[in-house]
Amino acid sequence: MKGPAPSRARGTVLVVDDDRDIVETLCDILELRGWTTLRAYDGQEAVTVAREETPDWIVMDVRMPRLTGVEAVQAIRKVKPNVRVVLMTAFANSDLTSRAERAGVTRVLYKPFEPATLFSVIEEAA
Amino acid sequence: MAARPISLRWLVPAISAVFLAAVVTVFGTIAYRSVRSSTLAGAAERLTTVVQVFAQPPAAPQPWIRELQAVALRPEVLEIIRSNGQRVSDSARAQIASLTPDTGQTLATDIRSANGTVLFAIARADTTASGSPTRAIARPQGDSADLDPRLLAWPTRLTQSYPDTVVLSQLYMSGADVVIERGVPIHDDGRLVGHVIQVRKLAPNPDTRRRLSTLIGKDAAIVVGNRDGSVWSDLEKAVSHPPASNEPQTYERDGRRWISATGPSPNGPWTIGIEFPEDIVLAPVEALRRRLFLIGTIIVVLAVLLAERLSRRLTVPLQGLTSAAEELAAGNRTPVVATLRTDEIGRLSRAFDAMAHSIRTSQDTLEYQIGERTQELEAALARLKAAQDELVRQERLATLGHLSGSIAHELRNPLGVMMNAVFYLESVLGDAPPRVREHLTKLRNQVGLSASIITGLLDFTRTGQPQLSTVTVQQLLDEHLARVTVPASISVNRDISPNVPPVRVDAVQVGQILVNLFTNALQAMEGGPGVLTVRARRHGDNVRIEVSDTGPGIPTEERDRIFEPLYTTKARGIGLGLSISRSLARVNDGELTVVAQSDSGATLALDLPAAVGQPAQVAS
Repeated sequence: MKGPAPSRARGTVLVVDDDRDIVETLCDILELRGWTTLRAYDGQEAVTVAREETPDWIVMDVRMPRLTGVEAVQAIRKVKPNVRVVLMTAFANSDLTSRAERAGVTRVLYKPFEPATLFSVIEEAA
Repeated sequence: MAARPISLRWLVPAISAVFLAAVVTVFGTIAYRSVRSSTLAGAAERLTTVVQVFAQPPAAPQPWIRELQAVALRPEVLEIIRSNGQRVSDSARAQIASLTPDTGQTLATDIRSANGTVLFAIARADTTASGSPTRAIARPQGDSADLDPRLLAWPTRLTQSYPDTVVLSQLYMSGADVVIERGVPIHDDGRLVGHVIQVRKLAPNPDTRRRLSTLIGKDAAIVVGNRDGSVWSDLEKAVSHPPASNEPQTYERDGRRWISATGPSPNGPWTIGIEFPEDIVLAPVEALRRRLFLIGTIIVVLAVLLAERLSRRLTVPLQGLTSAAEELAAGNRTPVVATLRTDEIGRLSRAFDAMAHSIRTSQDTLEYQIGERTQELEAALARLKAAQDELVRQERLATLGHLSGSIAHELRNPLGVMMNAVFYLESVLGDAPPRVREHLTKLRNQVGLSASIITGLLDFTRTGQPQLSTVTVQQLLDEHLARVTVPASISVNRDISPNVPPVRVDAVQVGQILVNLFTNALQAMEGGPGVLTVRARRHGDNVRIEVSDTGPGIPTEERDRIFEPLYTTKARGIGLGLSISRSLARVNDGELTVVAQSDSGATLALDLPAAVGQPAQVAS
């Protein structure tokens, strides 16, 4: 990975996690890759931000206070049906995967994951 | 102090002996007593008869009466009375001397007046100790004026011409002699004026002796005494004798017991006694007693011998039975009494043998049953222990899984942050000095390693309900061999039998097992060349997948322990891999074991249930 390419405007990513360090570091590296980032720290806030802004991708934790990732996805789908979603979780199980698929989630990533994995999902899809 | 019990063997003879001895003694005594008393009674009766015979008066007057009467009628004797003893002619003296012969029996001959005064006497001199002739008789002096009080008139049969009375005295003692006086009256013109008296010692009469011996036997004796019993003589000397009685009596004299019957004498105012020594009378009775004793003793001895024999016939087999029973009680299992007897003892012995036999049989049965039960119990105990061990293992595993899962989760976010941060730093520090970039690389590698460790840990904690699907072994092995990094120094040898059926398992869980087995095998061969061999073949209703390495192998004593949670031989690792792998194998109806192997390296075998009639799904 040689040098950032900030000039290349790839789109907007909403990063949602109750762990602020996750949000900060992910946003930093996404910006290095040329993404515009939005930040939210729980599911409810994510719904609000998604309604007000127009993110192309939402990268969101599953287990969060107030509203879980899956519930937030379902809420956001109602206002932004076309937004694409990557869910992050520390608790891998097949039940979650199937629910996420029904909710129209593009991919479920298990923490911790290499940033390159995330890039391969959102940059190739784009 | 406990009395030692007496054996029946001796008790029965002893009791018989005592009883018989008592019976024999009682009957013997009764018989002896009755024979004795009847013998004594018979003797007494004979004595009484003899006394009656002797009491018969003599047929003819006794000679002495005529002799004395001849002298009493002489005128010169009358002259002595008339002259009051002053005139004694030679003729008279000679007449009187003729009545006093020197035989020793007549002590003196007196001419006495009617009142007892001795007018003239001729005495026979006794030779006494002093040697001088003495008057041997001491006459009792009467005080009657008329008649000599000592003399009693005694009727006797005399001639018609002479008064038919004589006089006789009681017995009395004169010195050591028993004497009597006898005499005839002297009449002067029809008037009693005096007596001619002989004083005589009592002496045995041979004729009397002969008669007695004839009548009753030579041991018989005759005694004479006064009727009042004051003096008694056996005709030689004075003797003691009880007074006369109408009944026969027994008394002791001269150290002997005598039976005596008494009766009046026909010859004077006396009593005669006919006697017989009791011991002579009782001699046959005593002989009978000795015989009775002998017979009784023989009877008792014979009875004892018989009783002993009888009781031995009873007690000897009883002792045999007793010792057999004691042997049986002491644990000897083969005591046999065995008898041919057909009586009660024989029946008892056979019953005992039958009982001992059935005891042996039931003991054998019991021991066999106990042995069986013991084996069953031991097997059940072993199963229980195995189940308990498994439960403990599962419990420990669950606890550890829960704990490690929690820790792993908590580390996921920090590791994610670290990964992102490293990525960012590497991106922005592209121009940094090589040393900085080296450090960043190390950091990225270590974070990656940490992530893989906790990912593995989390995988193992998921031993929940398996989601069964049918998959081919080939698929499983291909997919999961690809997940491990095989160093260049290690070659992989795949040996998969073509007829291996598909398996029906949770593919994810079995994948975790396989990755763990591959990882362990590779780590065992770390730092050197080696071969990882994977075999798969049908194994009964199962499919067996064997994973072998060429590492140091597993010591025999550790083969069971490697499945225990937290057991590890690695420098790194927490020792949950094989434990969790076995649990995963079991929830998939499979088993994970160590294959015993002699050469180097370790082989673990994973048995998985073969799918029956289900086509394998194509892996997604």
